[in-house]
Amino acid sequence: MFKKTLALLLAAALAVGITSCAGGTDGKDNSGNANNGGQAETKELNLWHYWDSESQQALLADMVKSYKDETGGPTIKISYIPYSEYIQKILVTAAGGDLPELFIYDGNSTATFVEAGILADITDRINESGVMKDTLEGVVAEHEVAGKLYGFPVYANCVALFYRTDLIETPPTTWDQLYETAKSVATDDMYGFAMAGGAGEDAVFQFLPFMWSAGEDLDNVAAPGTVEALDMFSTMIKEGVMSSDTVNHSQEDARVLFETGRVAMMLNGPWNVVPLQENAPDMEWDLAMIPKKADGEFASILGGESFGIGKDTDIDGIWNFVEYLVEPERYQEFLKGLGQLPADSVLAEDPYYQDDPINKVFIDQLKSARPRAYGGKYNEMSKALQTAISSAMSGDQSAQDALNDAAATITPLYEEFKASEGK
Amino acid sequence: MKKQKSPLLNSGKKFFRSGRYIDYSFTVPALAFIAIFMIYPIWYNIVMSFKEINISNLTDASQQKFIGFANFSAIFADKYFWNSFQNTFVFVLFSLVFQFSVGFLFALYFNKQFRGAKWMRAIILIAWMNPGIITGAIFKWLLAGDIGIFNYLLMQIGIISEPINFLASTQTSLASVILGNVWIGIPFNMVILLSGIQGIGNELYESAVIDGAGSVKKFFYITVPMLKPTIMVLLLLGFIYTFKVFDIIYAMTSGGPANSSQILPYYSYEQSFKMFKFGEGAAASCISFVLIALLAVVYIHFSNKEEMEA
Repeated sequence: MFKKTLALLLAAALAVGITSCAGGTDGKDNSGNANNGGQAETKELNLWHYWDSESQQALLADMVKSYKDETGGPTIKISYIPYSEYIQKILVTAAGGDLPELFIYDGNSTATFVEAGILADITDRINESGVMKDTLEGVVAEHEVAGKLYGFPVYANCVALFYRTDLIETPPTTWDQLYETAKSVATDDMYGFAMAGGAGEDAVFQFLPFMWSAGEDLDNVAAPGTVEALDMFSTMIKEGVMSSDTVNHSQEDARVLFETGRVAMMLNGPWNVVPLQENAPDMEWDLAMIPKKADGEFASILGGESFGIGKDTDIDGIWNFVEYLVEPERYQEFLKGLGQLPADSVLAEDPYYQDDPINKVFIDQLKSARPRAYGGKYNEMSKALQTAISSAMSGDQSAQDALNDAAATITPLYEEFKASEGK
Repeated sequence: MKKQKSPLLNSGKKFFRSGRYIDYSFTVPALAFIAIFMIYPIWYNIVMSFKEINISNLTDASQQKFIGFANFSAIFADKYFWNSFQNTFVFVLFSLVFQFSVGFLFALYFNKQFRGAKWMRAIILIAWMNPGIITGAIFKWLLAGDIGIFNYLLMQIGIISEPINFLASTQTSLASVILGNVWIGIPFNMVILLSGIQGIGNELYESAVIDGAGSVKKFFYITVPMLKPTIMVLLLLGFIYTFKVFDIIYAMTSGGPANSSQILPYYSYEQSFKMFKFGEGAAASCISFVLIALLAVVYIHFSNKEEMEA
C-alpha cells in the first residue's frame, strides 16, 4: 500500500509543472570556481548575447578580436545563449553573483532588470564619455529608471505602416483614412489591414502607438481615445476588413498575410523587411507613418536591443571596450552590418539611411517612437491590456467594457510606478 | 505486505543485526536521484509558494520572506485563476473521454488481422511521437478562421455557411485545443489498450462462443472486464498527462483569446515567467500538485478494493 502510494505521488509530482527552476544553487557552484580562476590569471571579460544569425555573431567576434589586437586589451569571451533560456540564465547567474560584464538584452526590459538587481548604474560613465549624447530622447528614457541610466542602445527599431503601392495610391495618415482605405481595398480574397493581436507582447506593441497618438496613456486605458482605437479594429474585424484570426496573429503572421498577397496594409517593423523582400521579391510596396488620430500626433513604439553591464562586475575593464565599440565610424559599420537602425540622431544623418527610402521612413518614424518605460511591473500591465485587446477583437466584449476591466488592473499599477518615479 | 508488526525500535535492531541494510543500500542511487531531481524541486516549489518572491528579490534569497498563505489568497482572488481552474477540468474531462473512446475503437480495429494493420498502426503512432509544439502549430493552421482547411472542408460539405473562428473566439478556443490534445492522445490509448487486448487468451473467447455469446457480449463480458486494470492505469496516466499539457496550448492559442483557453499549468507559467510573480506561480503549481495527488489516492483506494475482491 505504502509503496504504491509513494510511487503514485512521485508520478503525480513529475506531472506537475514545477516552477522552482529559477533557484540559485547550481549557478553558485559554477561561478565560485570561474571567479577564482579568472582572478589569478589575466582577467577575462564576458559578453553574453542571444543573436542566432551567423553574420551577427561574426560581427561580435570580429569586434572583440580587433579590440584585443588593436588595443592589447583583455580577451572578451563571447557566450551565445538561446533566447528562450536567456533571461532565466541571467537571473540564475545573478543569484550566484557572477554576471557577465557586458550583455545584450531587450531594451524594454531595463526597468525589470534594474528591479532584479542585474544592471549596474552607469549614469556617470555615460555622461562623462558622451556615449548617449546624441541618442534619441525616447531611447534615453527607455534606459532610465528613477533618473539613473542603466544601459545604452545597440540599435533601435519601431513600427511603421507597410502598404501595397499597386493597390493604394496615397497611404492613409489618419485613423479615418486608415479605415476608409482598408475598407475600399478589401475584397473576398484580400484584407484591408493586418496587425498583431495575439496573446503576447506583439499585440500591445502594435496597439500602444494608437493610444499615444490619441494623447492617452496607461494611467487610464479606458479613456475615449484608446477605446476609439480598439473599437476601430474590432469593427474592421467584424466587417471582414481585417482577418478574424487577428487575435491569434503575431507580427510574423501579419507579414505572412502581406507577402502572400492577402492583405493590402500592415503594421510591422524593419526586422520583417528582409524576409518580406526575400519571400515576395516582386511585390510593390512602400512605407508610411502609422496613421494618427485626426487631431493627434504621429506616434510609434520603440523596440530594439541594448547593452547592459552586469551589476558588481569589472565595469572599468569593460568600459574600455564599450568606448572602443561606440566610436562613431566603427559603430556605424557595426550597425550597417547588423542591418539595424541607429538610435542616434547624428548617425542617422548618414546617407546610408537618408537616401534609402525604406530606412528613411523608419528613421523618421523613430523620432516619434516612445518607450514602454512603465517600471518593473510593465508586464502585468501589458498582460491586462492583451486580455482586453483580444477580448474586444474576438467580439466577446465591447472595446469600452474590455478596457474598463483592463483599467481596473492597470491604473493602480501605473500609479504605483509614478509614485516610485517620484522618489 | 504488512509483515512487520513489531515496534519500531525492535525492528530497527533486527534490521541492522540481520544485515539487511546492505540490501537496502543498493537503493541509494535511485533514492538519491529521486531526492535530488523530484523531491527537492517539489519541496522547493512548496517553500516558494509560501514566500514572497518577485523580480526584485529573486536573486537575493535573504529578502524572500515567508508570508504564509498570502500567495494562495492572491491567486484565489484572481478571477483568471478560477477561469483556468475550471478550464483545466473541462480540458481534462473531454480530452480523456474522446482519447479513450476513439483509442479503444482503434485498438479493436487493429486487433483484427488484416493486410497492412502493422504499418498503419505504426503510422498512427506518429501523432504521439510528434513534439506537441509542432502538433500545435499544425492545428493552428488547420483550424484558422480564414485559411484553415477545417473551415474549407466544412463549407464545401455544406455544414456551415460562414467560417468558424475556432481559435479566435472565446467560445471555441478551449474546444479547439481539446481537439488537438485528443489527436495527440489517441495513439497512446490505442497502443496500451491493444496490448491489453492481445494479452487476453483466445480460449476465453472460444469458450464464450461455445456458450453462445455474440460479439457484443464478448466485448462487454470478456474484453472490458479483462482490461479493467489496463483501463485504470491508462485513465490515471491520461489524467496526469492531460493535466500538465502546456506545449500544445502555447502553440495554438497562448491561452487566449482573453485567457479563454488557459489551463492551470499555463496560468502558473504566466504568473512566474511573464509577470515574475514567482510565489504566486508556485502556489498555482502546488494546487495542481495537490489535485493530482488527491486523484492518486482515490485511485489507490479503488485499486486496493479491487485486489481484495479479486
